[in-house]
Amino acid sequence: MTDERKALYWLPSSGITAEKQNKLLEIFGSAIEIHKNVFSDLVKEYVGKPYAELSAMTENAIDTELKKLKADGIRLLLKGYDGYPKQLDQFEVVPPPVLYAKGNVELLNKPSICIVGTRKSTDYGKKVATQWSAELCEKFVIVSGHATGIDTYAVKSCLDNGGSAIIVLACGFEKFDFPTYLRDVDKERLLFITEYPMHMRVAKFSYQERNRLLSGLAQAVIVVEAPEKSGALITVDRAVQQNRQVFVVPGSVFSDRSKGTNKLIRDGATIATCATDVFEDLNVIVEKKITEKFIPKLSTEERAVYDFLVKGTRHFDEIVTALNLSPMETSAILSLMEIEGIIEKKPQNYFALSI
Amino acid sequence: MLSKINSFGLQGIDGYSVSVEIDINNGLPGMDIVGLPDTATKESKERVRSALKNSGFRLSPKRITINLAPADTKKEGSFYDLPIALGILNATEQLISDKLSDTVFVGELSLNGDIGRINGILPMIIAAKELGLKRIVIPKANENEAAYVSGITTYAFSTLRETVSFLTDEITAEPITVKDAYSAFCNFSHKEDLKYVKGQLSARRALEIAAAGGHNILMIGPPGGGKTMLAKCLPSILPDLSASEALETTKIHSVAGVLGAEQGIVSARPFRSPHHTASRVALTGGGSSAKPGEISLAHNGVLFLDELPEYNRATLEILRQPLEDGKVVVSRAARTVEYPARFMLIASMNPCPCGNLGSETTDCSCTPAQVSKYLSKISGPLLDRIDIHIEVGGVSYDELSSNDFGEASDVVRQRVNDARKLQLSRFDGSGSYCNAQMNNSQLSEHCKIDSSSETLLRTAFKRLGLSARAYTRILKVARTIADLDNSERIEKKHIAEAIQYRSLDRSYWQ
Repeated sequence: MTDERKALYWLPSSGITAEKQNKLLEIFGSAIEIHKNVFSDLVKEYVGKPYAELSAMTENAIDTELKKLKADGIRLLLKGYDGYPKQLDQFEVVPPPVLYAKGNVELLNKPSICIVGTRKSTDYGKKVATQWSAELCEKFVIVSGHATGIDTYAVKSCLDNGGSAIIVLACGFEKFDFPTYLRDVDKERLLFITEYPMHMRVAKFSYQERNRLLSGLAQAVIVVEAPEKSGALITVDRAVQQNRQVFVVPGSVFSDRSKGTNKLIRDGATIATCATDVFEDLNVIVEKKITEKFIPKLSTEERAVYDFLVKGTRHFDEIVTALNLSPMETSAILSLMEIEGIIEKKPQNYFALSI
Repeated sequence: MLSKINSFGLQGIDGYSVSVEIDINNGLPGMDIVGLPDTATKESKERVRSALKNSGFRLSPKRITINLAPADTKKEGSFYDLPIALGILNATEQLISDKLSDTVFVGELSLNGDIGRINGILPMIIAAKELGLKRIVIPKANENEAAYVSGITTYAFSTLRETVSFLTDEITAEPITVKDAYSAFCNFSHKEDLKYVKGQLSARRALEIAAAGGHNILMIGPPGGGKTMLAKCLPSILPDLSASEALETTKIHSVAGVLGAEQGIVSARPFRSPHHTASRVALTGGGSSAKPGEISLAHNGVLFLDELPEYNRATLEILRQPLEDGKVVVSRAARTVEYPARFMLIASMNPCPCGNLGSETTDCSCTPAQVSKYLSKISGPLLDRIDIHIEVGGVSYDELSSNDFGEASDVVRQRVNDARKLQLSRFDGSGSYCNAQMNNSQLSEHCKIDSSSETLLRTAFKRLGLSARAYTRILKVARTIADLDNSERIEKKHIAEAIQYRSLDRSYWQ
């Protein structure tokens, strides 16, 4: 083999870790050299289990695969060549020699921020992820692992609000199930990226390994909600190793889903209480949107409901009792106010002001 | 000698005339029953033989042939013991009576000659009356059931001996006095009453609307929120059962054998709550004899499905057609029967597998995927047939421990009755009885809304993320709310209130 690019593609194709790939490259100097010495004991020892597959791979097979990649619209980003994201080229990140990318690779050159959190989010976490992502996506590309829960809320909200997102997969492209809602999104606003060869399935280790790229690609990581044991906390560890800024969203001290995040704060992490905090700490200037204060015109009963709800979220029964109205009248009034956007209905018959 | 006795059989919930013919010949002694008898009917000969002997009659050692005509329909059950015994007595000339020809006999015999209780007596009496027969003799244990049919003279006896004595005029017997079905309702009181429901003001109101318009209703809430209690109160606020409805329901219960001996007639709207492991057959009816299922037993009443997503999905899907047509057709190899099934569906479910989604006090431990999987167990088409979805929140300790009673069921029922009257006059002769049954043309005729309400609806759809299927549901429910308000027109406030009852269409569930 004479083409270094081809040799680089060949190296991870059987699924050895980025760490081992880097080590081999260091020892032999180039991928071509590794290929030449593929039958040496040293390579055999390093590669381990997938050795048989790796050594058996012919140049013809590589050519066919490369053609197929091209046909599928998947680009290869090779370390040391143009287009490889600079932010990954750092020892602590353990940069993978090969990245598979599909979508707009220009997004890698833009400032980006990673939003992570638990899969089992509460309503609170969902709200934070959704609102912040909507604000942050104006200046940042959102980097996400696209797990259910917080990750997905952040991506959805970002795309709904005209932002762009980079999604880092924990498996090969062949094994990734593209979510339906992403199909209608403008291709220019999305980039999927992975270090794993096409046929590689997800595994527990691949999620953890992938997390280093999440923080590696981003300037900063925001943890929205995380229980004590959480994949999100692994991303935080990596971010700290990689010297990335970490923002933590505080949560209720009674909530299991905020135990991990609150512990991070106790350990000295930076608190963020709104998207503006993040902008300020990262020295990003956002023009203040001038929002006119909305003053609703209210009838007497509506005013009474408004005044009552100013004190906080209230149950339907409490509103009925406090206002001394019939349930029937109350329902109608609440509906009207809800439609006008003055209040919002919460699950289980709770109502709260929305402004 | 040949003898012929009138009797009745059951086809679905209707009785049909069966004539029991008995012929006694010389030959090898024995008894044969022909005319497609099932096992219970075949075994009748053993009971009859002993009953005759123990009542002091003789059974001559001859060849007895019993034919149940019409010979091509299956005969099931033990109704024919009494007519067979009387037929044998008549054929052996131990019983000569001119009453035999215009009297119908049904009843099971025990070995000592007592007449035992049978199921399905009411449809048989009604059928006999319609055929113009004069008299019917039934088991004493069934007399309560028979008391509500007029136009036929009904006698109830407890032994074979007594029946024979009556036929030969040795004793005189008084026929059963006919009672007015209405009297059964008057001294009836419901077990559950809305006044014991603490708090839950929005759920109470939603129940009232559901009862008034015949709308199906789905309650969503955490465990312990009082969903079951609310559901059990529903029959107590439903409009009063009319006499014809009561007889129809009693017929079904009589056939299914779920009617208590002292009950006689179903005087309150039935409340059926099949467990969530119930099979399809248990709900629609079936079995070899095509018995009515839970949805038919709930006819004119309430079918309560607690923990809706726990039901087998296929089981739930079969509810779709009965919910639309008000009847179910049960087809089995032996027969095809149509049972009425016009019931109100009330279902309850948790918002998520752990039940705490959206709770203010407890965290939900489910992933979004688990929640959407749980909710998707209920199919769109089924959800389409449920007009009202409400959320039932937890009740606080203060509310539980308070001594204030809510409005009593009787008061609510009064309003429901009034609203139903309006609907009955509106739909007179169109085949619909209540707002929930409105078809599209009736909807456009009776649910006109002005432009301001139209604007309101449009904004509501946009703001609240309601799904398209909510539109007609909201209109129907608004019609009922207007009826409760005694208003001819649907006003803006009615529409506004109706929007509150579309919880599952809200975007926060998606």
